Amino acid sequence: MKKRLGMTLGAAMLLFAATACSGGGDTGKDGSAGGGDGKSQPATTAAGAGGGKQEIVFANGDWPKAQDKKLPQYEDWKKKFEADNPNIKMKEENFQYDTNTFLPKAESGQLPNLFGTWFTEPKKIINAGYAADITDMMKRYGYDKALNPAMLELVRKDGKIYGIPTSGYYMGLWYNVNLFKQAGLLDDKGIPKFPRTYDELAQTAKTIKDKTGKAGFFFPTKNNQGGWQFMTIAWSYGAEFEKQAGGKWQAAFNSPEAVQALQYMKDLKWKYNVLTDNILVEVNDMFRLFGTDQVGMAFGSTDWMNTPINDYKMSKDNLAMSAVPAGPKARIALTGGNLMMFSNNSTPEQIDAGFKWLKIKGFSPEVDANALKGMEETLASDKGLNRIVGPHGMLAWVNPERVDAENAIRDKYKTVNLDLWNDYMKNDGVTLKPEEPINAQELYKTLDAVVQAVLTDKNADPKALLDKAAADFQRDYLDKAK
Amino acid sequence: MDTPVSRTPVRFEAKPAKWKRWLLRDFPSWLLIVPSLLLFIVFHWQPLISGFVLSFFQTKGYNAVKFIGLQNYIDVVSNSVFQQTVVNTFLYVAWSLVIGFTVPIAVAVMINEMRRMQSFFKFAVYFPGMVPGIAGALLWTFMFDPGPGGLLNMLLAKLGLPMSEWLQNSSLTIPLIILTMTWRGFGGTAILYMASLQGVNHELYEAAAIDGAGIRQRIRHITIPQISSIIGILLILQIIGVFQVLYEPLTMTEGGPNNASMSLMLMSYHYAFRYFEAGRSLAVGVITFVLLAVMTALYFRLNRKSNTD
Repeated sequence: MKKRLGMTLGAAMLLFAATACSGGGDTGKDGSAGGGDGKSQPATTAAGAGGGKQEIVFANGDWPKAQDKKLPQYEDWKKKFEADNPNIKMKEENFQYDTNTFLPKAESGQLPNLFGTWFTEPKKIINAGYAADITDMMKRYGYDKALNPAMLELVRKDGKIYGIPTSGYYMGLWYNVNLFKQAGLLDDKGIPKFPRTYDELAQTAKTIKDKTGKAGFFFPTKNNQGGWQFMTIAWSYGAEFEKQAGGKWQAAFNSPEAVQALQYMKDLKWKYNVLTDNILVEVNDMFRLFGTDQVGMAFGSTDWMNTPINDYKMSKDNLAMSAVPAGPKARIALTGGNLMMFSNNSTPEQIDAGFKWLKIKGFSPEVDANALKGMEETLASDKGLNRIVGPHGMLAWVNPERVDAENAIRDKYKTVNLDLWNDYMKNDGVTLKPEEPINAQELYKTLDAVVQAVLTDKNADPKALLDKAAADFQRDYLDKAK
Repeated sequence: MDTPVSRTPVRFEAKPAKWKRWLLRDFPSWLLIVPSLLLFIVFHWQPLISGFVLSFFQTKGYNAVKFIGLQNYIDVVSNSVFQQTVVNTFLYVAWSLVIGFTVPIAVAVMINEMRRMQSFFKFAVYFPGMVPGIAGALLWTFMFDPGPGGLLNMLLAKLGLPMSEWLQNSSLTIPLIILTMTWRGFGGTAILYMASLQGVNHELYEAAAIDGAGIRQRIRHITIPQISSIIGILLILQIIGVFQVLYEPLTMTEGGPNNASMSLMLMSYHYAFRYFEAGRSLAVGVITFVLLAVMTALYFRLNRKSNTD
């Protein structure tokens, strides 16, 4: 009797839960169909109802941390912004894009209207429907013409634009000047002797290891970064990853060229022994090791240049950069960058506010003194904080008047010897290549495992590993790609 | 349906009244369980069931887009890493039984036999459990650093032993992760065993001692049988717990090297948070749930059989 009662109760609860769930499902459907209307924050409704002078709340995710020394600068911009737009109230938030928290935040409508992320992310964010279509605003403010078209391509889907590329990078090599000095690898002007081929890179790394006892070269293998950085090497060895043939995608990275590139990775560990002892590392470890003179070289770009200075008190003069070395077949560097997006529940007024904010910060195609003021203030404050100012990566704006104006400002505030950076900025003879088009992150994950295998197992067979990885990637992803 | 009604009309009328009376009689008790019932429904059953439902849908974020039947399951199971992941997950469980299962029992018996300093040792074994999980995992990662600068390698070098690659050695990765989990978790389990040991009747030991039984015989014939029910329950809890291992491999190895420490939950985590594929992530979750349910049912069945035999 008791048991039966329990069962009936259980069944009733199950039913109840099921109905509760179907209720949840419905709202979900509404949400996706209605473009997230159901998820609007109260702020949005206040604005949405508005005609005329109603107050708009603009949640700005582009804001530094409370302890950041840039904060006063941002406070000034905020004052100016609110003075210019008396009907907009800015709610600032230090939003840092994090793959672990983005999804829950987006799903619960907690994203700020304007938020930053980087180039590997927009595709999945757009596909998941979390970014607002900003095509009209891009046109109204003239961003669509003045921004680097290659970078703009990465935030476009079906002809619509979902993001604003703010800076681009291409891979280069970082040099720790202190370690190069100790290893006797500086020329008479104090500039590191840049390796021009991957073989020279291995030799240089070995010299550093022999002379200083520190790792010559850093290579990450975790968090999809191993695959990501392996691209630059493998492409230069002539490897291809995803090939389109007869309308179908093929995993092509078990070619002899790719095997040769992987063998090179293996040699770095087992023949030259120039890598860090711990292999299961990522770029954050690089900042630590590089910033504390534990590693001589690493792949890097200009948008990271101030991280070891900020986080590990490295001297701004301890970093030099060159273009990537050449492989046997080519000299290729991967490109990517950062961008801003708007959350899908933003109203046109809020998106407009976002563009106005970027303009105050100095991020717009215009060149009048007012528009450039923000950029100038940023660089001046960086200079005041003894950070690196002067070098730059790929420029977001392509209109010549803006490029010249930017260069002039950068020159005015520069804090480092640009001879340490010119090789990277000229980037002569290097072909730039964007990330692979299909499931790039999954490809990196697959390659992470392969790189880990050759770096941890002396007897690993690169050919066999790549054969398996290519077959797996083909079956898991490329066969399903549309 | 009609016949019983016409035959016993009185009973039929009485029935709802009885039911109502029964409900009314227990009304205060019903009121008492309402909060926990709501809590369970909102925080346990609703997410569980909607997760189960979502695993059959193509998802956009966490929204169901289209019913696709078993496609998520097919995608997940046919993924080339899946097989290795399942094997790994069972390896985690197996190693946890080898390394971690007997430790708390032994420790509990030992502490229980102590005359002095019992509370100090109780505290000492429980202490690692108070270290936050991620912090503990990172701490061990530093100790396992494979270079000559790693703490354990320095110890080995002092002892004149060859250095180890620790977590980077793919055949050591899982046992080492289990070691850190045992270090963190065995104290809590040992306390449960101790509580159960306090309940063992002392007269049994006295009788055995009079019969000339040594310590080993007493443990084998009295202690173990007396606490066997809690051993069984903690065995299941341990299997369930270790089967869902997530943050140790996430923080220590991220599933590497070469997927040697990838677990089902880590795979599910990657699907959800790295690739934003909620449907597939939930499919992995459901598969984990089914595997666990089957194993638990099997255990109870075997247990009942051995009890009746």
